[in-house]
Amino acid sequence: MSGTIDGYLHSHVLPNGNSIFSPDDIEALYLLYNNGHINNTGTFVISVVTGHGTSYSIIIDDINAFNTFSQNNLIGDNFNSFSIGYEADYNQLNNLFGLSSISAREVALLNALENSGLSILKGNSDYSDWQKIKAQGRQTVDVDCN
Amino acid sequence: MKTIIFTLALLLNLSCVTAQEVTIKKGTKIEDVKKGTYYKTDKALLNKYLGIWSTTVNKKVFKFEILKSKTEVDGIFIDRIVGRYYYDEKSDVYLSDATYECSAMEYGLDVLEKGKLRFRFFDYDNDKLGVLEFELIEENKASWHLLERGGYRDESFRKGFSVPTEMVLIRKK
Repeated sequence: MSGTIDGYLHSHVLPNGNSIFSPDDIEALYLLYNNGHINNTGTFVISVVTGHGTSYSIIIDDINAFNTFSQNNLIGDNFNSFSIGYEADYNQLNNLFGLSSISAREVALLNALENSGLSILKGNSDYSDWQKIKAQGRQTVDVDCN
Repeated sequence: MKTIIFTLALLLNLSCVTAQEVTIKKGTKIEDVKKGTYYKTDKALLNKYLGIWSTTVNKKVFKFEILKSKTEVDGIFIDRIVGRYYYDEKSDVYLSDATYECSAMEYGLDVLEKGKLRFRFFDYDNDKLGVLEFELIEENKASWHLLERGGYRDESFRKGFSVPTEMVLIRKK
């Protein structure tokens, strides 16, 4: 890949595709940034549409926080720990606490991205509305944008 | 002597209190998750995967060992599923901190029941990650399908993998 981009949309197809961004997607975002492929971090957006009927976007709220987070979580050995932590959290939420697979992945990813400088927005069924969400305990709640 | 026996009995009793174990079975609903508890995965679902799976490729023995790994998450303990492979007689590779175990990405009861696991696979010779689809074909027989992972494609995908990408493995008795 060469040059810069303003964002991208990708899909997760069934049967294996996650209902939300995977750890690899978060790593990909960092690699795009680190390799100089992001045109403007203030407006850059990545989105995913999935076979589970869900759609999400990620924006970068704080590039310095994202850079620090990436050094600690997305590079080399740390990426392995980041992935295992996210997946263990997901499996615990789904298996023990009885959250649906989709909800458990939302909460687990929001937990994993705490203090990352990234925000997750959830799309509605026709992609006309995108609501910023955050984890609160074992639930996701809307973030007031006012 | 009596004091020693009493102390041992007390310690054993305390260890039972502090290390509580609950087995999670299909349909089990945990109303009150307690910190410090070990929520074990039902053996009936787990055991069909655990053990050493092997085959011979080009006169070299390939082995894939699947184990459960007790893991702490937010103060409770759950079973994760991990795997490690041995090829080309490199049996001491896991002594190195630089070598990761492969780790199952999903290991919920529903997933275990379906007979197919996906692992985050680490190729220690080519120093790269991939996705392993491990599917039970029949009892003690499984297919191995190794794929490049998704996401941003750096140059590592050009290296391919140092192990076969398609195999049928048999579990050792």
